[in-house]
Amino acid sequence: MMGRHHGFLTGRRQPSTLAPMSTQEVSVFDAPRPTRLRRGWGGFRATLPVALGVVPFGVAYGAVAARSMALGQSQLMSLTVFAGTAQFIAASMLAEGAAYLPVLVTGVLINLRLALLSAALTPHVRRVPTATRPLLAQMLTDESFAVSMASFQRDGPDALFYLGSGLCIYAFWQAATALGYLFGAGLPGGLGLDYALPASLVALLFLLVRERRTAMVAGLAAAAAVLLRPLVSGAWATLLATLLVCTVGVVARRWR
Amino acid sequence: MTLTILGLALATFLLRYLPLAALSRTTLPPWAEDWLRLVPGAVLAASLAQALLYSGDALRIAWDNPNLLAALPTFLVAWRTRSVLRTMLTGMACYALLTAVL
Repeated sequence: MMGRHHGFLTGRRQPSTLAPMSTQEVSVFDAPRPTRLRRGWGGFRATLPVALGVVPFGVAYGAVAARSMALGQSQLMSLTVFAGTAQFIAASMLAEGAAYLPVLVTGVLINLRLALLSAALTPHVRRVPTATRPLLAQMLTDESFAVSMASFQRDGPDALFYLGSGLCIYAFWQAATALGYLFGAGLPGGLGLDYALPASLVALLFLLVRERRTAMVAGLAAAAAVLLRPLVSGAWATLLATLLVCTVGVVARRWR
Repeated sequence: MTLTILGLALATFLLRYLPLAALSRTTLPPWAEDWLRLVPGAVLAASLAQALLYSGDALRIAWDNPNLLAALPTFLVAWRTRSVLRTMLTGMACYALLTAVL
């Protein structure tokens, strides 16, 4: 796997006719077509194991979406929102008859991290054509970000690798959510699909929270949400607990 | 419903796009960056705690709560492997077993 992976990437170091070696990143989109395809495919391939991990979650989302919206609406959400946790929670809230504002605010809050990932991606894709930025942005997920960053650290930045990675997650997400919508209700109950959301929250939490301070803030947010839950709806408990605890976390650091 | 979906889509796109488009020119104050850095873990933990401890509107901290019980092996696998796929399969398998038994 590793050897073949490096084979895909050897093309990057070769100067193309349009891009001299000194401006390495410019060559990202100017390289000959076969080289561009190989790099994108390299990103796609490297992301396949992670993409398999989003399948049960996509199926679970589709099954919940089937309770509250039409197939076209469910797939529209997968195509445009393309963010697993936000989609799942939005679909759950809509199935329970939640109003527009809490759904939107909760979704935005859950997706705030994408703004951070977007900021972190910027230095690696600074030289790509401006017109491709919306596409790079839309392909941003926790999964493609993590796989691409690991590759960038090893082999240098490559926007095409990142795009291939994002497209891999995108393709699997569309297929999984459609399958979940169409067949989720027909699946036997013993598959544990009800647990896809909690289990994926645990998995992403352990990917994101790697230091003591963020772990403490996460623990406090959990406790605050549980305490707030009897007073407000679940979405507002999450929102208020996060606003409160993150502010406490920032203030506590400044005072020390 | 469709409007809610499109509103969330637009907001999510802006969250993904604006930092990428604008960050080469401006930067956030350090406290704002710090605040935003704490948000993802807090949101996930707050959602998770409710998913595990509440069923509907009722607090349910008990051994016959399969959501809570299945979380123990799920946390263990997440901690040891940091693998999304293994964590999810463990959680779903344990939940399926527990709901069959309880």
